[in-house]
Amino acid sequence: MKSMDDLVRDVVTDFVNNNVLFTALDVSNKVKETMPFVRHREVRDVVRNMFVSDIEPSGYARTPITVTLTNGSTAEALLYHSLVDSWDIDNKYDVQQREQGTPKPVSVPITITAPSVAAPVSHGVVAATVATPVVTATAVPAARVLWDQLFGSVQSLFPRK
Amino acid sequence: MTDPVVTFDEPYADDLPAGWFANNKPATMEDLWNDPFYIKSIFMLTENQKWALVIARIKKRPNFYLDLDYNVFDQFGALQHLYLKDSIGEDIRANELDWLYELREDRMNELAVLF
Repeated sequence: MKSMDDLVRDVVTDFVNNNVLFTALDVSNKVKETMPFVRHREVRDVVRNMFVSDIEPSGYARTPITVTLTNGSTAEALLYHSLVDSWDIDNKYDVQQREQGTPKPVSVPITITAPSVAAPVSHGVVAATVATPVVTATAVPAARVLWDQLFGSVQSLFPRK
Repeated sequence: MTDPVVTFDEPYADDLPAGWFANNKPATMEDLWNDPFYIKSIFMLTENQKWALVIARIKKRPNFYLDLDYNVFDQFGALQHLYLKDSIGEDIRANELDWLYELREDRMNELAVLF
């Protein structure tokens, strides 16, 4: 199981090898595909720490750019780009990319239906089959997978009855 | 009969890369022409910056043509060697950086006379 730091490192290395222009938000969004509940703030700090040791030696530079947040306000972000692209940042990292937001984990409603159970037989009388109620619950599949990966091999302290 | 279309390499085009300012912002040929004093000397650039500068310049020149003693290179051929950073690539890079260096020195001398 990879830690968040390893995952961020992999994503950044992949971006650099493919000459992709990226911000910490791009890395954060990519990491969230695997770890949905990771904080952007944490990813951003890892990316910033990687700049001197990993990103800059690969012929990359960083340039502050203005990005539009989802609430319409603007903020400054650091764009990591190949030195060769220094003169084409506006063309290569266009407006659309500067307006992207952070995707929220999506709750997918699922329906759990218990199988029909026959009532116990008593005194030779067979009771009618009783349909159990339909239980509706929400779950986040990706989070479930992550949870299973993290704790799948560990016995729960609170086993189900 | 129409005349054949003749295209020329334009190393002086305003939007071509020319180096970096002291604050590491990219400078174009227009900047080099107007403010050569604010642009870093070639000697102050890192190796990565030198490669990037020459690659970026040649990428924007579809009619690039270079005649070195042993061969001639067009844009595609030059970029291949530059990306490989082989000995021919180093020759091409040195040629382009020398040209930029002399241009900046000349322009600074011209402006120094004016002021």
